[in-house]
Amino acid sequence: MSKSILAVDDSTTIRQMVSLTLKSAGYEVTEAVDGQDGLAKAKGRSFNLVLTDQNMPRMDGLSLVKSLRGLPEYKTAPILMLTTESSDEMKSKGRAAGATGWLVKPFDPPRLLEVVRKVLG
Amino acid sequence: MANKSDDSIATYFFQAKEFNLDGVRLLPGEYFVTQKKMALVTVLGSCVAACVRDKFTGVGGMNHFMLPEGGDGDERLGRPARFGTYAMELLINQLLRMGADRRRLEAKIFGGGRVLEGMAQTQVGERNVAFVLGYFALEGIPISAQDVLDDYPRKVCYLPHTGQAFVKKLRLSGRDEADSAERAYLARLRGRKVGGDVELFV
Repeated sequence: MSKSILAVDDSTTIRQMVSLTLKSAGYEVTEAVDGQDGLAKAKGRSFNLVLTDQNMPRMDGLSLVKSLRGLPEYKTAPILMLTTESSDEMKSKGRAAGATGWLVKPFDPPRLLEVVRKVLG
Repeated sequence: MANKSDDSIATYFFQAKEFNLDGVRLLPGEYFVTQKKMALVTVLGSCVAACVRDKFTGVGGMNHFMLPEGGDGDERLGRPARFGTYAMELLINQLLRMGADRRRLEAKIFGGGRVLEGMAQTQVGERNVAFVLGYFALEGIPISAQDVLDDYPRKVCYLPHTGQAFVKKLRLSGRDEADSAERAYLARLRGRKVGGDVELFV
């Protein structure tokens, strides 16, 4: 059975690119348009991985990571940030919030798949 | 390695006397967003500039970029598309950080002239314009005005607080400073890696 991934980004273009990349490798992908939408979709089921942008309306990526880590089904699930933010300060905040890793855009499809395979074990 | 001006916030400030405003001049690869009453100015050949603002608050900005050449496999995931999406996202993220609401954004687009002739680059402008039009359509951001394509360079002045844009057609010249800057930018893009850093915390 294919592993499930929740892809959260307010940009339709980015969501399509990420989905296309992940689906081409056989993953099942669910899209969410911001942190709030992502949290609502995550609560309904247990995704194997969450991949989220940082700067989004309503709820940003770091707030989403913190909220997910408070849910029993996402205590240990991998959560990756995929964002244009590249400062050490933001990465530290991501680590403190409970993110598993930090990918800086623009994303490279083969590299994204490599990281996804690694964190999914 | 990218030039230090690429993907950067513009830093060349001046007095825009015709508007009696502080101004900032954008070079290829730069972007700038402001909440103040300012004039954002750039000169475009084959590059494009997207001018985007929140209609309600007036926070707005501009970028100046072109797509790198080439493609690797699926067009939607190729180098040009990924780089262009990144350039647009830098601008839009900065707008959101400064309080813009994505639902109230409107865009004006300029440039993409057939200017870099003699370098087998006749399609550069068309590709840039097609990308930007497609991007805004997919993102659901309306384009309220555009002056694109054709065969002349343009000087564009954008006032984010009012949303007004002024375009001056320029005489085509292969020797002026703007043309040189665009050619240098295109050359830098050729060697540029389109992929960011990865750091795992575990």
